[in-house]
Amino acid sequence: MKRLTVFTACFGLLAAACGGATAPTAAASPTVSAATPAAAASRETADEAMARLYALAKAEGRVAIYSSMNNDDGKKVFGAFEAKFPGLKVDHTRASGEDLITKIVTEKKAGQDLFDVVESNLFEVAFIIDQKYTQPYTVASVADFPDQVKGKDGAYIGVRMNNDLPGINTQKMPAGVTIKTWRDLCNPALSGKIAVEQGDVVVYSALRKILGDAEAQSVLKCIAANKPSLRTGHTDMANLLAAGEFAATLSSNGHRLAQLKNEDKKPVDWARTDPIITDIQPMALSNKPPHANTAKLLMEFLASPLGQAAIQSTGRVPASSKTAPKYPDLNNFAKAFYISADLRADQDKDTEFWRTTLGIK
Amino acid sequence: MAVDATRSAGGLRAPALRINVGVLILGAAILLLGYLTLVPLGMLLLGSVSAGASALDFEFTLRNFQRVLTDQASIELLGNSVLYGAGAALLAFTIGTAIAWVVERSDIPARHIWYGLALVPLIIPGIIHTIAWLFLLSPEIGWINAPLKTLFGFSLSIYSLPGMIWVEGLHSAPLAFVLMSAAFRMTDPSLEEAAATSRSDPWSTLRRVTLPLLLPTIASVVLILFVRALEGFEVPAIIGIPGRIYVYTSRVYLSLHQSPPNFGLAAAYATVLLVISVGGLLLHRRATRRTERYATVTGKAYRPRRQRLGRFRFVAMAALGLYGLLAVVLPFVVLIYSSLVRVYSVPSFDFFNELTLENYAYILGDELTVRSIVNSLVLGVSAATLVVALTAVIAWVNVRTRIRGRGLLDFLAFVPITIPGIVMGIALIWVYFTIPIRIYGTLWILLIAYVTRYLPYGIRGTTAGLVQIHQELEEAASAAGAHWWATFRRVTVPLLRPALVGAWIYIFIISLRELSSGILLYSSQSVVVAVRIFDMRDSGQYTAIAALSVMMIVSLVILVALLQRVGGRTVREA
Repeated sequence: MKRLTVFTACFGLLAAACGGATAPTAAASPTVSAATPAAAASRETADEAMARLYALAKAEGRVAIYSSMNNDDGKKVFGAFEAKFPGLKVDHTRASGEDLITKIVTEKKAGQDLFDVVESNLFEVAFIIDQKYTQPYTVASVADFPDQVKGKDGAYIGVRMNNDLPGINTQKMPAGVTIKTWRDLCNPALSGKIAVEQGDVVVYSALRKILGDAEAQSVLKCIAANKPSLRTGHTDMANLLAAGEFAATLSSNGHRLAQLKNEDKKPVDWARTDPIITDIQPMALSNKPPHANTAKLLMEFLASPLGQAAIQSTGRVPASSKTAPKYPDLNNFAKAFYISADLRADQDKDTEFWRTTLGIK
Repeated sequence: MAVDATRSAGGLRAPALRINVGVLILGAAILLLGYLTLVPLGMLLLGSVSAGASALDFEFTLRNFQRVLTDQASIELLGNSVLYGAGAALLAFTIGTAIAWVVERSDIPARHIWYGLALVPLIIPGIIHTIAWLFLLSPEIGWINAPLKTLFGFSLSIYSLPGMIWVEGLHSAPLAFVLMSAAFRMTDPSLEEAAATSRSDPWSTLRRVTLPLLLPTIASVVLILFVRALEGFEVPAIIGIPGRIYVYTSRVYLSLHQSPPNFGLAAAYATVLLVISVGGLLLHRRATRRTERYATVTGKAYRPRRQRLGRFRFVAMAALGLYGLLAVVLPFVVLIYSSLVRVYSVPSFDFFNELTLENYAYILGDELTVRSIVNSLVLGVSAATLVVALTAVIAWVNVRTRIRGRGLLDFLAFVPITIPGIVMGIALIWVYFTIPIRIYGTLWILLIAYVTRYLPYGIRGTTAGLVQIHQELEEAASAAGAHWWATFRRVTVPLLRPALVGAWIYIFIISLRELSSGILLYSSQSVVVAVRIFDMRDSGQYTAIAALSVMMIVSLVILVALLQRVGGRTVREA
């Protein structure tokens, strides 16, 4: 009998542990409220919308966001949400844009609705929107954001931006080499000293628009001739840059470089390119969110001045025109080139060229 | 036939009931094992030739195999995989065999210390070992490379095929050591003694007598190491992908992590990997089938003679010390150092200014990491318990009955040994794309993967245990009026306890280290420790990983020591 009790307790524990992931049972009811017309919400102020949604969200208790924001920054931003709305918990699943696509597509194909909000690079979020895995939602503070970060009819809204800048380790840079433009990375003195994030096709797509097809192809080819180390994860690459593993990167997230330089006092800087490739990080609401009200509340919060301040506190660049970045020297030296959904038209062609040129098989 | 079957089954009073219980157990077990092993494999094959999203909208295509087999990179992929597997297997075999010979067959002092040292790396999860070597051999900032670069102007890049072979080979060496030391222990020394009498030196004796005698064992061990390297995921993902050296496991993973993910292509790569793995294990079975030709262990008592090393004893001790330094000490020290700084950098005197316990505080306060530890423990206990319970019954049917079809049961329980973890992952994805049971992303799907993968370990342990127990004890219970269940529970299981405990502990430990099958199946709710480490690496949190690794290694060493103390001889034998 005692053994039976132990055995039952063991599998009870397993069942309890699995229970957390069987959220879809709760999906049915919130989905109804998920259909609340966006227009109704848009007439409210951000504070009113949040007060209304908080009252509804208390019954849900948590929200699952799939986001590319790293865990350290996520703790600050989502921690601010949890502090503002006691009783609500944010489950942050952190992964790169490509990994988030895989995760969401696999879950949806397997009949699971596990995420409420997705937040990542524009190309990846746009792909998820194309699959009809999201639904439109317009936040109350939408007017605070520039047009370049907003999708049509509330399909998405970008609440933060990544400035994609060539990163520099000031101690590892060979003597006499300076990086001001992307072509400067072709310097043979940098052979074996550069790193490239292998999912950064978007940077090449942007360079085609900025420099023209021929020059962009030429630049990528000569960078490839310097035999760059191929990395996955921008934070990982920036940390290794700071540690001295490379002298430069083709493209790092500006805010991480600024954190390493200003907060960790590492020998890191960035190239002042003109223009600044600005990769918006849109968020979109799931088509079947297990916690619809909390999901909308989180989106409202992130777009509100409070949420933007939380994003600013991490060193990331808030997308709202009303909130200045913590490190002004990340975007005060040139105009921004916003990554737009139009660039996706040539994504397959660009991906093919990118992979072939860099030897990603 | 039916009557024979019931007689052999033993332990049941009513003949009619005997047939029913035996057949019922056999039928249920075949159904369960079929579901666990054949259904995923069937779905995998279907997925590899399907243009549809599931078996329900199946549309035949050879496009995936065309790409896998005729793509320009396919030859390179095959070449890399074979070179990597063979290189790692040979390195592990060489290191493991050398240590095994010194410990088992020479007069080296402090044998038990060296024995323990050789086994410690078995406890360290592969992902932690791999990351530790990243710290040591990164081209510019590695502990070994930084001074090399400064002093001699060159460095040894870990992001290369030799780098991959080195890390995998070093990590697999303890397995070779365990298998080869058992072989050295069991071999009759009379032939070696004859060689020594003929004035053959130890090296010649090893080369000309001992190793040829062990030829079938050597072939078997090398094949096991080869298949193990091929199915490993940690090294190909963490070292191979940044170095642009792709093998089948990393290719399966990348097929799913491209934009958009290609499930059919992943299934096709997985199928090729499965075929290689099955081929390797068939060769292994062939190599071990006719071992009687080489049998030297007889009924007469013997004790292997230890070779005198003479002045070479110090060389041997230095070599063992070097192995301990490379496999245990350096990786552990570099992890401790990295865990005490905020951002990793080459060691310098600044270290003392940057000293912090922030990483440990981060790990202990990180909900996802804590959840991953709890999940790993729950899965470890559940998988070990289920596998042991299931395989105890299967072993009983196999050993104690003559029911037709029991061979199929043994076969089904052994099949998963050929399924690499990542192949199991993609196979289960295809299963739950098709079957409307919503368990993807939960612990249940991970439990299914673990139980299936570890069935062979359970079946080998329990069968070996049961064979050693004579049937007369169960017959006595039956004669005294006990039913089958009562006999099984009160006689068979208690007698089998050492084997069951051994199998349970082994499965529990390997569950805690599992990465490859979980990497494609988890969600934030069902994340396990190894997957959490993999994710943290993607976020560049190396110093936090180092803190988690230090805590994990210390906990595992304490756990194993405790189990040894509590379990006593039973566990040590296991």
